[in-house]
Amino acid sequence: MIDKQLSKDELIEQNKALQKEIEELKDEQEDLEIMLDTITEHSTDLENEIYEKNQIMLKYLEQVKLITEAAAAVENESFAIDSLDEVAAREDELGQLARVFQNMARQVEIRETKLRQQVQELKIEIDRSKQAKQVAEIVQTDSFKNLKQKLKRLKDARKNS
Amino acid sequence: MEIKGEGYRVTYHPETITVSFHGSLRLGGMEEYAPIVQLLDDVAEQNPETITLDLKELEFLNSSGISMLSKFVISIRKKKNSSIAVKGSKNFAWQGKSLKNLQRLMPTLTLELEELE
Repeated sequence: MIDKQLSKDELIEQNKALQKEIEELKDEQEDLEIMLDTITEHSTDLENEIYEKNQIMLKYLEQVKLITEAAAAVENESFAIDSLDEVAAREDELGQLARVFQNMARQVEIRETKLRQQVQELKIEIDRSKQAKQVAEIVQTDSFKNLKQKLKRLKDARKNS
Repeated sequence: MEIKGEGYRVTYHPETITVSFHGSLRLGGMEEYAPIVQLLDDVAEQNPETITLDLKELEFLNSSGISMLSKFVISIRKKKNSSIAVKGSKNFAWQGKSLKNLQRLMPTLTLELEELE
Protein backbone atom coordinates (compact mmCIF):
# COMPACT_ATOMS: atom_id res chain seq x y z
CA MET A 1 0.00 0.00 0.00
CA ILE A 2 1.06 3.58 -0.62
CA ASP A 3 2.02 5.24 2.66
CA LYS A 4 0.84 8.70 1.80
CA GLN A 5 -1.72 10.04 -0.58
CA LEU A 6 -0.07 11.15 -3.84
CA SER A 7 -0.77 14.59 -5.11
CA LYS A 8 -2.35 15.01 -8.53
CA ASP A 9 0.95 16.15 -10.04
CA GLU A 10 2.77 13.18 -8.61
CA LEU A 11 0.16 10.86 -10.09
CA ILE A 12 0.52 12.48 -13.49
CA GLU A 13 4.30 12.12 -13.22
CA GLN A 14 4.02 8.48 -12.26
CA ASN A 15 1.57 7.86 -15.04
CA LYS A 16 3.99 9.40 -17.54
CA ALA A 17 6.82 7.23 -16.23
CA LEU A 18 4.67 4.14 -16.54
CA GLN A 19 3.61 5.10 -20.05
CA LYS A 20 7.26 5.52 -20.99
CA GLU A 21 8.11 2.14 -19.51
CA ILE A 22 5.27 0.52 -21.43
CA GLU A 23 6.53 2.11 -24.66
CA GLU A 24 10.04 0.85 -23.98
CA LEU A 25 8.80 -2.64 -23.20
CA LYS A 26 6.72 -2.63 -26.37
CA ASP A 27 9.76 -1.61 -28.40
CA GLU A 28 11.82 -4.27 -26.72
CA GLN A 29 9.16 -6.87 -27.39
CA GLU A 30 9.05 -5.87 -31.03
CA ASP A 31 12.83 -6.16 -31.26
CA LEU A 32 12.75 -9.58 -29.67
CA GLU A 33 10.02 -10.75 -32.04
CA ILE A 34 12.01 -9.57 -35.04
CA MET A 35 15.12 -11.24 -33.62
CA LEU A 36 13.21 -14.46 -33.10
CA ASP A 37 12.00 -14.31 -36.71
CA THR A 38 15.48 -13.53 -37.97
CA ILE A 39 17.18 -16.32 -36.08
CA THR A 40 14.44 -18.85 -36.86
CA GLU A 41 14.48 -18.04 -40.56
CA HIS A 42 18.26 -18.09 -40.59
CA SER A 43 18.56 -21.43 -38.83
CA THR A 44 15.75 -22.95 -40.93
CA ASP A 45 17.56 -21.93 -44.11
CA LEU A 46 20.78 -23.42 -42.79
CA GLU A 47 19.06 -26.63 -41.71
CA ASN A 48 17.43 -27.01 -45.11
CA GLU A 49 20.69 -26.31 -46.87
CA ILE A 50 22.49 -28.86 -44.69
CA TYR A 51 19.72 -31.40 -45.31
CA GLU A 52 19.89 -30.92 -49.08
CA LYS A 53 23.67 -31.18 -49.07
CA ASN A 54 23.40 -34.32 -46.96
CA GLN A 55 20.96 -35.85 -49.48
CA ILE A 56 23.36 -35.03 -52.31
CA MET A 57 26.22 -36.62 -50.39
CA LEU A 58 24.18 -39.75 -49.63
CA LYS A 59 23.36 -40.12 -53.34
CA TYR A 60 27.01 -39.63 -54.17
CA LEU A 61 28.11 -42.30 -51.71
CA GLU A 62 25.46 -44.67 -53.05
CA GLN A 63 26.83 -44.21 -56.58
CA VAL A 64 30.41 -44.65 -55.42
CA LYS A 65 29.20 -47.97 -54.02
CA LEU A 66 27.77 -48.89 -57.45
CA ILE A 67 31.21 -48.35 -58.99
CA THR A 68 32.92 -50.46 -56.32
CA GLU A 69 30.34 -53.17 -56.91
CA ALA A 70 31.00 -52.92 -60.65
CA ALA A 71 34.72 -53.44 -60.01
CA ALA A 72 33.92 -56.57 -57.98
CA ALA A 73 31.57 -57.77 -60.74
CA VAL A 74 34.34 -57.37 -63.32
CA GLU A 75 36.55 -59.60 -61.18
CA ASN A 76 33.99 -62.39 -61.10
CA GLU A 77 32.93 -61.79 -64.72
CA SER A 78 29.34 -60.81 -63.93
CA PHE A 79 29.63 -57.13 -64.82
CA ALA A 80 26.72 -55.65 -66.77
CA ILE A 81 27.76 -52.39 -68.47
CA ASP A 82 24.31 -50.80 -68.10
CA SER A 83 24.49 -51.18 -64.31
CA LEU A 84 26.54 -47.95 -64.39
CA ASP A 85 24.28 -45.97 -66.77
CA GLU A 86 22.84 -43.77 -64.00
CA VAL A 87 26.26 -42.93 -62.58
CA ALA A 88 27.66 -42.32 -66.07
CA ALA A 89 24.94 -39.70 -66.64
CA ARG A 90 26.47 -37.47 -63.93
CA GLU A 91 28.41 -34.49 -65.21
CA ASP A 92 31.06 -34.58 -62.50
CA GLU A 93 34.23 -36.58 -61.93
CA LEU A 94 32.30 -39.57 -60.64
CA GLY A 95 30.29 -39.64 -63.88
CA GLN A 96 33.52 -39.51 -65.84
CA LEU A 97 34.93 -42.38 -63.82
CA ALA A 98 31.82 -44.46 -64.60
CA ARG A 99 32.04 -43.63 -68.33
CA VAL A 100 35.74 -44.57 -68.47
CA PHE A 101 34.88 -47.79 -66.64
CA GLN A 102 32.10 -48.60 -69.12
CA ASN A 103 34.34 -47.86 -72.12
CA MET A 104 37.09 -50.06 -70.73
CA ALA A 105 34.62 -52.86 -70.16
CA ARG A 106 33.33 -52.50 -73.75
CA GLN A 107 36.86 -52.65 -75.14
CA VAL A 108 37.69 -55.68 -73.05
CA GLU A 109 34.54 -57.33 -74.36
CA ILE A 110 35.42 -56.58 -78.01
CA ARG A 111 38.98 -57.83 -77.52
CA GLU A 112 37.76 -60.99 -75.85
CA THR A 113 35.35 -61.74 -78.72
CA LYS A 114 38.16 -61.19 -81.20
CA LEU A 115 40.53 -63.46 -79.26
CA ARG A 116 37.89 -66.19 -79.06
CA GLN A 117 37.44 -65.96 -82.84
CA GLN A 118 41.19 -66.18 -83.37
CA VAL A 119 41.42 -69.21 -81.12
CA GLN A 120 38.60 -70.85 -83.09
CA GLU A 121 40.37 -70.14 -86.40
CA LEU A 122 43.67 -71.44 -85.07
CA LYS A 123 41.98 -74.63 -83.87
CA ILE A 124 40.50 -75.23 -87.32
CA GLU A 125 43.92 -74.66 -88.90
CA ILE A 126 45.57 -77.06 -86.50
CA ASP A 127 42.94 -79.72 -87.27
CA ARG A 128 43.54 -79.31 -90.99
CA SER A 129 47.32 -79.67 -90.75
CA LYS A 130 46.89 -82.65 -88.44
CA GLN A 131 44.65 -84.28 -91.04
CA ALA A 132 47.16 -83.58 -93.81
CA LYS A 133 49.96 -85.05 -91.73
CA GLN A 134 47.94 -88.16 -90.99
CA VAL A 135 47.13 -88.58 -94.70
CA ALA A 136 50.80 -88.19 -95.59
CA GLU A 137 51.72 -90.76 -92.97
CA ILE A 138 49.19 -93.23 -94.30
CA VAL A 139 50.36 -92.69 -97.90
CA GLN A 140 53.94 -93.38 -96.85
CA THR A 141 53.21 -96.78 -95.26
CA ASP A 142 54.23 -100.05 -97.04
CA SER A 143 50.78 -101.56 -96.85
CA PHE A 144 49.32 -98.49 -98.57
CA LYS A 145 52.03 -98.68 -101.27
CA ASN A 146 51.25 -102.40 -101.79
CA LEU A 147 47.58 -101.63 -102.02
CA LYS A 148 48.29 -98.94 -104.63
CA GLN A 149 50.38 -101.39 -106.72
CA LYS A 150 47.69 -104.06 -106.48
CA LEU A 151 45.11 -101.59 -107.69
CA LYS A 152 47.33 -100.60 -110.59
CA ARG A 153 47.81 -104.26 -111.57
CA LEU A 154 44.09 -104.91 -111.43
CA LYS A 155 43.43 -101.89 -113.63
CA ASP A 156 46.09 -103.03 -116.17
CA ALA A 157 44.66 -106.60 -116.25
CA ARG A 158 41.19 -105.24 -116.96
CA LYS A 159 42.56 -103.08 -119.82
CA ASN A 160 44.34 -106.10 -121.42
CA SER A 161 41.42 -108.47 -121.15
CA MET B 1 42.48 -5.04 -34.91
CA GLU B 2 41.87 -8.57 -35.99
CA ILE B 3 40.33 -11.71 -34.56
CA LYS B 4 41.34 -14.93 -36.21
CA GLY B 5 40.11 -18.45 -35.68
CA GLU B 6 39.69 -21.71 -37.51
CA GLY B 7 38.20 -20.87 -40.88
CA TYR B 8 37.33 -17.24 -40.15
CA ARG B 9 38.79 -13.78 -39.75
CA VAL B 10 37.21 -10.57 -38.44
CA THR B 11 39.17 -7.42 -39.20
CA TYR B 12 38.66 -3.77 -38.31
CA HIS B 13 39.84 -1.18 -40.82
CA PRO B 14 39.95 2.17 -38.92
CA GLU B 15 40.48 4.27 -42.06
CA THR B 16 37.06 3.30 -43.42
CA ILE B 17 35.45 2.30 -40.09
CA THR B 18 34.70 -1.08 -41.59
CA VAL B 19 34.56 -4.41 -39.85
CA SER B 20 35.02 -7.15 -42.43
CA PHE B 21 34.15 -10.80 -41.91
CA HIS B 22 35.78 -13.63 -43.84
CA GLY B 23 35.20 -17.35 -44.04
CA SER B 24 32.83 -19.47 -41.98
CA LEU B 25 31.74 -18.23 -38.56
CA ARG B 26 30.39 -21.19 -36.66
CA LEU B 27 31.40 -20.55 -33.07
CA GLY B 28 29.57 -22.48 -30.37
CA GLY B 29 27.32 -19.98 -28.63
CA MET B 30 27.36 -16.37 -27.48
CA GLU B 31 30.29 -16.92 -25.10
CA GLU B 32 32.58 -17.80 -27.96
CA TYR B 33 31.33 -14.79 -29.89
CA ALA B 34 32.26 -12.46 -27.00
CA PRO B 35 35.61 -11.30 -28.48
CA ILE B 36 33.87 -10.32 -31.73
CA VAL B 37 31.10 -8.55 -29.78
CA GLN B 38 33.85 -6.69 -27.90
CA LEU B 39 35.49 -5.61 -31.15
CA LEU B 40 32.15 -4.32 -32.49
CA ASP B 41 31.40 -2.51 -29.22
CA ASP B 42 34.84 -0.87 -29.27
CA VAL B 43 34.12 0.46 -32.74
CA ALA B 44 30.67 1.68 -31.67
CA GLU B 45 32.14 3.48 -28.66
CA GLN B 46 33.96 5.89 -30.93
CA ASN B 47 30.53 7.07 -32.13
CA PRO B 48 31.43 7.12 -35.83
CA GLU B 49 28.92 8.49 -38.31
CA THR B 50 28.67 5.19 -40.12
CA ILE B 51 29.89 1.73 -39.21
CA THR B 52 30.28 -0.55 -42.21
CA LEU B 53 29.91 -4.29 -41.82
CA ASP B 54 31.47 -6.02 -44.80
CA LEU B 55 30.09 -9.55 -45.05
CA LYS B 56 30.83 -10.10 -48.76
CA GLU B 57 33.35 -12.82 -47.97
CA LEU B 58 31.38 -14.39 -45.15
CA GLU B 59 30.43 -17.75 -46.56
CA PHE B 60 28.65 -19.12 -43.51
CA LEU B 61 27.23 -17.69 -40.29
CA ASN B 62 25.46 -19.85 -37.71
CA SER B 63 22.44 -18.88 -35.60
CA SER B 64 24.52 -17.51 -32.72
CA GLY B 65 26.30 -15.35 -35.27
CA ILE B 66 23.12 -13.85 -36.69
CA SER B 67 21.94 -13.30 -33.12
CA MET B 68 25.16 -11.41 -32.38
CA LEU B 69 24.67 -9.17 -35.44
CA SER B 70 21.01 -8.56 -34.54
CA LYS B 71 21.91 -7.49 -31.02
CA PHE B 72 24.65 -5.21 -32.31
CA VAL B 73 22.22 -3.54 -34.72
CA ILE B 74 19.70 -2.98 -31.91
CA SER B 75 22.36 -1.50 -29.65
CA ILE B 76 23.48 0.97 -32.34
CA ARG B 77 19.89 1.96 -33.07
CA LYS B 78 19.36 2.65 -29.37
CA LYS B 79 22.51 4.76 -29.07
CA LYS B 80 21.28 6.94 -31.94
CA ASN B 81 24.81 8.20 -32.70
CA SER B 82 25.79 6.05 -35.67
CA SER B 83 24.25 4.47 -38.71
CA ILE B 84 25.13 1.08 -40.13
CA ALA B 85 25.93 0.08 -43.69
CA VAL B 86 25.93 -3.65 -44.45
CA LYS B 87 27.67 -5.04 -47.52
CA GLY B 88 26.73 -8.55 -48.54
CA SER B 89 26.85 -10.84 -51.52
CA LYS B 90 24.24 -12.83 -53.41
CA ASN B 91 26.84 -15.59 -53.75
CA PHE B 92 25.77 -16.85 -50.35
CA ALA B 93 22.08 -17.72 -50.23
CA TRP B 94 21.61 -17.04 -46.51
CA GLN B 95 22.62 -13.40 -46.80
CA GLY B 96 19.63 -12.19 -48.83
CA LYS B 97 16.97 -13.05 -46.27
CA SER B 98 18.86 -12.75 -43.00
CA LEU B 99 20.52 -9.43 -43.77
CA LYS B 100 17.21 -7.95 -44.88
CA ASN B 101 15.86 -8.82 -41.44
CA LEU B 102 18.55 -6.60 -39.91
CA GLN B 103 16.86 -3.72 -41.71
CA ARG B 104 13.65 -4.54 -39.86
CA LEU B 105 15.53 -4.01 -36.59
CA MET B 106 16.97 -0.72 -37.80
CA PRO B 107 15.09 0.83 -40.73
CA THR B 108 17.90 3.33 -41.46
CA LEU B 109 20.40 0.53 -42.00
CA THR B 110 21.58 0.46 -45.60
CA LEU B 111 22.04 -2.90 -47.26
CA GLU B 112 24.05 -3.45 -50.39
CA LEU B 113 24.07 -6.93 -51.93
CA GLU B 114 26.68 -7.61 -54.54
CA GLU B 115 25.40 -9.45 -57.62
CA LEU B 116 26.33 -13.04 -58.35
CA GLU B 117 29.79 -13.61 -59.72
